[in-house]
Amino acid sequence: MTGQILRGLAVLIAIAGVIDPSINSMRRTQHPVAIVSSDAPADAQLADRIAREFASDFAVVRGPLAGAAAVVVAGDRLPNDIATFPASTPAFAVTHLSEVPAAHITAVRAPAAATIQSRVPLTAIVRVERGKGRSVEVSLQHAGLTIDRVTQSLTTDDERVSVNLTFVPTAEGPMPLSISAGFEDRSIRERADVLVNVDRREWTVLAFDRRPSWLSTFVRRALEDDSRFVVTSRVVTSRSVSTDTGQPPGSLDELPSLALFDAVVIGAPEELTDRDVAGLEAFLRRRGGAVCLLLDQQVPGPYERLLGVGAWATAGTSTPASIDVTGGDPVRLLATELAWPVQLPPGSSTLATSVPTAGDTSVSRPIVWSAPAGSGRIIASGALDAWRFRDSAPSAFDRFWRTLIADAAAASPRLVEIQLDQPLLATGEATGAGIVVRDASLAEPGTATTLKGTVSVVLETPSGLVPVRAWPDGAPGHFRATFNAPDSPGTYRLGVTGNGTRVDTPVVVTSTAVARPTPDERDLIAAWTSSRGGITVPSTRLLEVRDALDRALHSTQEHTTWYPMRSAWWIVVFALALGVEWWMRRRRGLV
Amino acid sequence: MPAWPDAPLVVAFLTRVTRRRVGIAAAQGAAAGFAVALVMLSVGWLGRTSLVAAIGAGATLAAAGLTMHVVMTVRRGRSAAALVELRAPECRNVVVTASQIIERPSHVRDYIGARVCRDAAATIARLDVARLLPVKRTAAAFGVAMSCWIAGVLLLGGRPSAMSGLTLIPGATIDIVHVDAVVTPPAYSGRSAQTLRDPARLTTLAGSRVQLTISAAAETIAFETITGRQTLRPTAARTFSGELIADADGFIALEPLGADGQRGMRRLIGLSVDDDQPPRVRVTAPGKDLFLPDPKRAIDLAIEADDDIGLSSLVVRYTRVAGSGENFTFTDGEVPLDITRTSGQAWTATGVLRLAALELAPGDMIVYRAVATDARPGASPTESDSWVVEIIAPGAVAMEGFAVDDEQDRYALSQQMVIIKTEQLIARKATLSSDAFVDQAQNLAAEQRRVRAEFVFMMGGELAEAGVDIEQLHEEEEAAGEHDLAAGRLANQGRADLIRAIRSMSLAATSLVAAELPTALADEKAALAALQRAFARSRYILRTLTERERLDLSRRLTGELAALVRDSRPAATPVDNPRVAELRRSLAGLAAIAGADRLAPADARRIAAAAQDLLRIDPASDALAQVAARLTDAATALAADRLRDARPSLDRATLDLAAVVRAELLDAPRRRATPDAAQLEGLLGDALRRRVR
Repeated sequence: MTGQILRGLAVLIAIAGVIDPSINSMRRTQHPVAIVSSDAPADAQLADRIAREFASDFAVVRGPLAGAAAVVVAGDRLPNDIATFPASTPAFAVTHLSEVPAAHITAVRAPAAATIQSRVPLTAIVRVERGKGRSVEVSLQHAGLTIDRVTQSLTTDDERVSVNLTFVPTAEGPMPLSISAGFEDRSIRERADVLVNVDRREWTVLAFDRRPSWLSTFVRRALEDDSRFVVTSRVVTSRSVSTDTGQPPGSLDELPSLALFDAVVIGAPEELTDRDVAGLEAFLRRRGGAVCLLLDQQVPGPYERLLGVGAWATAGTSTPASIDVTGGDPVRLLATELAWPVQLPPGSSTLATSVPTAGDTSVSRPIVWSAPAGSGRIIASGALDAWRFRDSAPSAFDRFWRTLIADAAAASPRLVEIQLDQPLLATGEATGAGIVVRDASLAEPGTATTLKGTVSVVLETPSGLVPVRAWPDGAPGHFRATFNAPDSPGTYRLGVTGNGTRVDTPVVVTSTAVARPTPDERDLIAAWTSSRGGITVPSTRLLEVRDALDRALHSTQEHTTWYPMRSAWWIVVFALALGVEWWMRRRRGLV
Repeated sequence: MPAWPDAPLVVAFLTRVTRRRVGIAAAQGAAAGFAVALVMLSVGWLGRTSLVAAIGAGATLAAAGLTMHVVMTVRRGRSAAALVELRAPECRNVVVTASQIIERPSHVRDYIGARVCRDAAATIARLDVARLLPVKRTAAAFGVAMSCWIAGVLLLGGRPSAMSGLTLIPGATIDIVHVDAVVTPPAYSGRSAQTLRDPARLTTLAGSRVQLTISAAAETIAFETITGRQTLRPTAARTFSGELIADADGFIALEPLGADGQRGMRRLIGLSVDDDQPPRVRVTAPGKDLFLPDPKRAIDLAIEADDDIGLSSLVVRYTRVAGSGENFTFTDGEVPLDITRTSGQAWTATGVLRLAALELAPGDMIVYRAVATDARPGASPTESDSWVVEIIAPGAVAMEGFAVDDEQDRYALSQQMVIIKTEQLIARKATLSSDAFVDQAQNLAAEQRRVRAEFVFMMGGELAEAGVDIEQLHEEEEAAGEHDLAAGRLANQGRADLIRAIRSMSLAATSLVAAELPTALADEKAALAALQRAFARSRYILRTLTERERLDLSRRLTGELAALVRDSRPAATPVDNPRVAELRRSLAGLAAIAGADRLAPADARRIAAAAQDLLRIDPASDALAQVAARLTDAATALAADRLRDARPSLDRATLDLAAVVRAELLDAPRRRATPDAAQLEGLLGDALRRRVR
């Protein structure tokens, strides 16, 4: 009986296979979705979790997939392989959100070097999770001593706070600093180490007036009284008559002598000649310097070529208007006569704006602004009579101009620039250094002369000079070197000789591990997903991504035809049935 | 009480014993209280701030001792009968027995009770209560304790204690125990003296006397202020005295010294001196210059004055200026005032300046001002603004120099005001009588002359110095100026325009005196136009130049054109702000101490010295004074080996000092863009600009 059944089953399968019946049904479309993450274990875990959650709704692939209908990034860092996805692929991201209170220093912004005559501003970006209603305390330590401390209240469960700290240097040399962040009850602390090299660098500034100008005179005096500046000046008082301080260049069109200065401050710019303007343009583009134009009246002239302003607007007030620095310290100028461009040139940024007074319907106007010009920057001031209001109580005339010119001068590249990836290292740790030879880097392209940049790099150690190999790095004048920190803790110097000019920078090696910020690329991820029509959500809102994927991929119920007999598994069943039936017959003695 | 015949005798006896015993206990308790009070007075725990406090403390302790001992005796002591039995064993317990059965007569039969009481009465009849409970010793102890306490109060009451212990063990720690400061403000202020114990900072009125009484275990004390240092020697056992007159911000540093040169912990007291501000006085009515045609008028005056401590006098003084040419007479006088003293610090006054009594003639002038003084000896009186009452006369000129405003706009405004008033007067001419019209025109002439006089004053008086009548323009000087201008040596035309303005004002004034208003108006407008040209932004009159930019007069108008050379000067060499340098040095020193892994008591001296250095850098700075106070706290805690208290104070002081230094400095430039980023930004800017074009 059993044998007959098995034989019948085999016959039925064979008949059904010949008939090949079909079944029609409505089924959800399963688009292929790639889930990618960085190599960090936490990111990988999150990616696995997302893959599990989405497996029932999509054809999930863990990793980059050519032809994926959508990509989901897991974690707070952009994986390298996202570049493999075309721009048309919708992108989504799920970032971490801790289940318990946590604080992470995601970035520290600090100048690599600062002069001892100034205070060093540092900004710590701290991401605090599950801290709503509590306070985060960020402090700055040097040599085990707390130098600055800031406490900030938290209003949400996933908050990123930007905290400004200040280091007051008391001596020259490399200063290892430590920033720690945590909750006010000190239950959780996270640390990040930075190095600031404190030196006594002076910025060279040329003040050049084609006619005497009150504004330029008082700005120059403010700079001359600050030991961070070395001011050279020329004030043309009459035809062929000038008053010089120091050794100013013969004219502004001599780039070799003008290139000695980090910044050039121009008073009465309307008096500049075409040759002057050409010289300043060369200074901006081939030196990468900063030019500050101090207008004390708005009249046309060749100088407008530098600014690229189409039209100017002016205003006069009976009471002095406040001109406040944008997004910085509360530093202000006062002026009654103002001039500003009707439309700022493209790429420019506002440094100080006029503050509308009570009853004034006007908006804030860009009175002091800057625009890039080649590698340099040009700064224009339309506070025409700001020199009249120099009383330190309501105004901060000296402070304003010193800070502005210092920022501009410090941004001017030196003959050889070194930028260490990490100046503070643990013993044996590897790091890289970018080297830029200015003259080769900023040389005018297309010139017939051959650009030549020669660089030699050494690490100065107590046991002698250790050569470091540097390789050209793409653009002319750009080089890159990598080296390992020595095995002994201490302060070393990385010396670079570029085209005959030698500069060096300190490298501090510690015996303990160096704490570094935990990068948080959520903004970048959010921008990336947004540019591709997707969203970025924390891991607690994972379902929102699934809904968004549904909308983006138009997941619908579709009419599908199923051919059950086309499964290869029927062969197994068919063979098994016949085999068992044959075996039973042999057992009974039948053939 | 039972009806046994002898029971009352027994009860009366026991009552007498009880009373005597309570009296003795009270005396003993009080004696103990006085003894405790004496000890506390000696060690300075109680009663050293004032005599009253000393007496109060002693009386309180004696009363407390009395009460406590009596209560304890009554509650916990033996019964009177037991005490009698103890002191007189021959009683053989019959007194105790009698006492107990008298208390509970129902427990015994009457005949037994009567018998026991009879035996007890017989026994106590042989006893003397005074011998049983002698008071001699107790009275002596009480007397001695009270006498000693009284003596202690008389000797020590209200005086600072010498030290925490009664004796100084040789080789013990050199230390200042307490500093008592009595700040006595100057007598004129009327403020009472202030007594402070261990102050961290003294805030005094300038001229106050600061008396310090220092209790210290030391041989001498180094008494240092910002102006000098002296050595204090003990005036009594372990007591030192020093005093100073507080006349400027500073500090008081007290350092105990031992015989072997050993130095104790320095005590630092910040000294903040508030100056006595001069009175402020102002004439609120009429509060302006008056130019009157009528020499008989009475002018109502109102004056307000105030002072931070107190006013002592308020008067209005005037000077009568009469005459002309070079024959002027000056007569001083005072206007009677009716003063209302709102408070000691604020007065108001009214008065009447009667011109008739002064017999003023046309052209004469009264200059008056209010004068107030406060009570500070030797203080200069404060005067209000001076105001002028002038009896106008044609051709006269108001004396310049009383109220010159340095805002250049004012000149133009003043001239504009003259023009407006002239136009208004022309418009109202039809409604005025002839005399009134002339009168008002002459008033305007006086105003015009005053405006003109201020310009003459502003020009540095060079016309007057040249011996020229300022009514007339000096043609030669003007010609010299013209030549100057023609030669192109002056940077602007302002001076010439100003001279033209002055000339037009003179003509306008002359026309106004003659009541020729249309002519005057034309000259006034010409003057205004010249003023506006003179004060154009690019043509300010360069009257004041700094030394570095001062014109080289020897080169002006002389030399040959071909010999012109550049004026070359050495570059400025600024020095670092010395205050910041000092503060930074202090911060570095403090950081070196605070940054150490462990603090040691020996660091206390360095911390105290750092605090003193801070006060020396800027005695007037409240922020530094606060840091110094924290450092002093840290040093004190460290010296007492209280490391746990020292560390927070030291850390906080370092943090605060860093904040003070930070406020003095400018931000270093923030992290700059990489060369690549700067190049990229420039290329982007160029591309965008090309696109816009």
